[in-house]
Amino acid sequence: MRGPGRSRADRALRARRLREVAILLPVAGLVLTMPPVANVFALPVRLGGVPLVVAYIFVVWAALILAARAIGRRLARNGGGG
Amino acid sequence: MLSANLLLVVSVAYVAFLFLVAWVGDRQAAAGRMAWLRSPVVYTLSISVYCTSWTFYGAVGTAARSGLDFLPIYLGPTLVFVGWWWLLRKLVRVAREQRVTSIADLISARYGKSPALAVIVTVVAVVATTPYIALQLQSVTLSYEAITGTHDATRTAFWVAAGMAVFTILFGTRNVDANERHHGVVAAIALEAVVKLAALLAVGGFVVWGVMGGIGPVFERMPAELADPQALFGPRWVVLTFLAASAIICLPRQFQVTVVENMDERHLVTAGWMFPLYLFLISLFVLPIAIAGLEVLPAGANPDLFVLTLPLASDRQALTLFAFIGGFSSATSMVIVASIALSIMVSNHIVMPLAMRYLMAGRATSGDVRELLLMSRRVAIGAVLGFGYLYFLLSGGSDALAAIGLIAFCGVAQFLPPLVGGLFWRGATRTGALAGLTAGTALWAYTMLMPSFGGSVLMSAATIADGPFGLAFLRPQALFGLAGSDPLVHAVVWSVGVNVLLFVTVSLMTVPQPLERLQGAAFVDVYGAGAGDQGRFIRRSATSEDLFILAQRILGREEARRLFDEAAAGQGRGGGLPEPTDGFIARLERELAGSIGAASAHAMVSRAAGGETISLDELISIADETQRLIETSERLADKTAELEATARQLRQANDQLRRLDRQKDDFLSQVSHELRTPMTSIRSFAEILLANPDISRAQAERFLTVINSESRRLTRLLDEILDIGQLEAGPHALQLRTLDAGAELHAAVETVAPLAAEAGVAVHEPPAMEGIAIRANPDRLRQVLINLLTNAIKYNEAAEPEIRIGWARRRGALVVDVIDNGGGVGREEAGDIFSKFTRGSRALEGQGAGLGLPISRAIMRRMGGELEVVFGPDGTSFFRIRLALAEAADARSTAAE
Repeated sequence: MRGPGRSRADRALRARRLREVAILLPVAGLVLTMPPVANVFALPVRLGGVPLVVAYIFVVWAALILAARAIGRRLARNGGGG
Repeated sequence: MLSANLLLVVSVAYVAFLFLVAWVGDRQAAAGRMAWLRSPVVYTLSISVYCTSWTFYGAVGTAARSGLDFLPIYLGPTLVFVGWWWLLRKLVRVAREQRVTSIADLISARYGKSPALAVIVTVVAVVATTPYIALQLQSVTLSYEAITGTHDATRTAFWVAAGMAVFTILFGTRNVDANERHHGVVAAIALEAVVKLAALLAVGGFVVWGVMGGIGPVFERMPAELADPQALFGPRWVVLTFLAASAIICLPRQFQVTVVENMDERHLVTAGWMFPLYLFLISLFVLPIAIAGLEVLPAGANPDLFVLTLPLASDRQALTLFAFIGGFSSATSMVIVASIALSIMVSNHIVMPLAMRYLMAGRATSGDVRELLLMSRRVAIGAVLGFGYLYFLLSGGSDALAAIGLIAFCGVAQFLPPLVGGLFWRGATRTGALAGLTAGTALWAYTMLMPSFGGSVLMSAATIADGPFGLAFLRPQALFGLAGSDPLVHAVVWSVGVNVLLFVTVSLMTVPQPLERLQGAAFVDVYGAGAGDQGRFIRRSATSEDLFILAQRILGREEARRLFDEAAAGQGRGGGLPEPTDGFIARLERELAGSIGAASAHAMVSRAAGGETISLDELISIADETQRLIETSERLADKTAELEATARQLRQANDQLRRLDRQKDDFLSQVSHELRTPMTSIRSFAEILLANPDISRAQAERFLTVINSESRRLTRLLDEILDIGQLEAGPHALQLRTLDAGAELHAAVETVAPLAAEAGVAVHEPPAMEGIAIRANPDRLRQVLINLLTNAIKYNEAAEPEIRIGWARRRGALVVDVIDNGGGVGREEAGDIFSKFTRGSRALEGQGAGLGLPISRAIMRRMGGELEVVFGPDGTSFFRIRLALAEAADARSTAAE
């Protein structure tokens, strides 16, 4: 059984997690698009005709956009403030 | 080829349409119908003013020259917007709290509203934006010439610059908004954002599927040197990302649309993903267009114009026109917003302080400052475009677009340390910001801006190659032997590195002024309460009339009237001017800052209100994080102590209640016991009488006498119980009268005289007790006196028993002592003898019910007096009653009326 106090604590925890994810997202983007991580994909390989490195950057980019959208919506629903 | 006339007609028609949109936007905003203007989509689209003609044409050019090198310019801003939660949100919040009008205003406001910082930032912004505006002129000129085939760049660029100046002045300086918001401009910019994206996507789609036949074939033709990924992720990639990330905040026009024009913090949620999406879409076709251009167009074609020349080469006139309009859109939107932002900075931070010094020296000078502001803004817009045109002429107009744009990026990146440091670090000081900014800007000018003229102006080609006066270690692009492969990396590392270093070290070595500390706290703690309300900390005085004159000159008559009426209503005044409280002066300064910037507003209000004093103690209480923590924990400790005290009181009350409860139980059992004794004897004598009808008359009389006296005792007991109950709980006040104390005492002694005589106790009355008036109820007072005397007689077992009565006047009261030589009561007994049914140790079993003393005390208290046991120095004790004298009681009741 979950008491009301427990679920409120859960909500507060989730809201804090969400803010932490929001702060971590650009850091993840930075790590993925900067050397040395990005160098892993700097290979002369093609993926369906497209150079791997081009595909990699654009996929990371798209993923960042989708993640930002999902986080932003949840933050807005949680009141966004604080 | 398209005709020049057609291009002109289309361009003018497009501008006219933009103007219409802006006009409608302003009209609707004025009418309060701002639903669509307030939408987060419009906000996001207006931010895409970031994508200038450098993006539209130059990105393809960069891609054709060096592959993916164009991407960091869009990845940097993506990272900043994706991470809007920690920087942009704070920036927007601070800007709204402080009514910030520009990035110069923000930095100056943070560091104690420093006019010097505002001027430096403004100058750097103007200098850094000049090449950027030249770049827009150049691209419009190039695209115009590419389509029409004319070759008179100087003339074309001049007319483009002039046209844009007129357009911007008409657009951006129609009025001075109290918050520097330009709804119409934002609407037009949003429209242009759609146009340029659509144009680029259309060209991209046409090139990929119309010219090359699909994505696969495009990348098959990719030149080998572009496809080589090995050298991609190097220092240049990192530096470019950093520059672009700082530019999206620090470029004056980006600050204007993102921060100043922001109407709702929640719009950031949408912009946080939608603006990166916009950049994503803009970048999508850049590489394919570059590859196609290299493949299809003749060698030597300018890669910066591929977007235009590819459809042109395929003879797609409509698409070419669309592409031209797209490029034109991206150039005009940048020029409009950038010159508006710069003109605000110039008028607020350079013209306004000068005007204050020279034009408005006397307070009596009347006139509307707003006219001056508008005029100076118009002139500033003209001047900014003039500088751009000049730069275009001097730099020869032949540089690659990207190189020019990066000069601007590196220039404004100098704002980043004081900006971010000011938002997150309390310790940042004005001197630190000044030092870092000055040194960083100087290094930027030396290593990047001056060499950009290619040796024609300010710096000779020889200096660039060998250093000034042949000093090799001062070579602009290899300073102190730091010879990197890339001049850009070199310039950024030197300028931003030294900037940060000086900013931090000088900040650590200097002490901030009170106003700086206050502003620092307001910036760093913008989400917490406290520092936002400056009225708490700054003390100033001014007359409302002076303040009204000042407000009227800056805000205009109606706006000032509205503000003052609102404040007067807020202070609970029906009409007239509001009280010039500290809070109101602080609010007025904030409102003025929304029009003329924090530094000028502060200077003007200080002129009307005199210098401020900032209470340092209060300031420290908010300015010092540690201090705040200590205060919080102190408050917590206080709370805990308070709680403990309450708990202790509760425990005491609980103990008392328990004792009272026990006393009540005792009382009940005592009462039952006391009642039972006479009842038992009455019953037993009555039974004897009933059982023996032939009992002798004398015997029967004796029995009946016992029954009678026992019944009397019973009645008396019940009377006493009722009496004490009434006295303790009863609502009736005793009727008090003015009595002669001596007479009352004498009467009481007379009453007990037979009893005393019988017991052989001598009663000594006090001498000379005449004319002492007291306030008391005569019957009750006599009851108390008789009770005390009777006790003294009854329980006195001394060999020669005697009672002395003493009296005195003390502090408006009469004190009467009843002293007997029977031994008194013990100290440990003294608390208990006033409890019901408690008899003193001197009392004999069966004597009285033990209610006399409690009743007497209750009576005395009801009459405003007291009955107590007093211990003499020799350990003896006696009873003392205290009663108010009549005069004193009268005086007290008069005072109370």
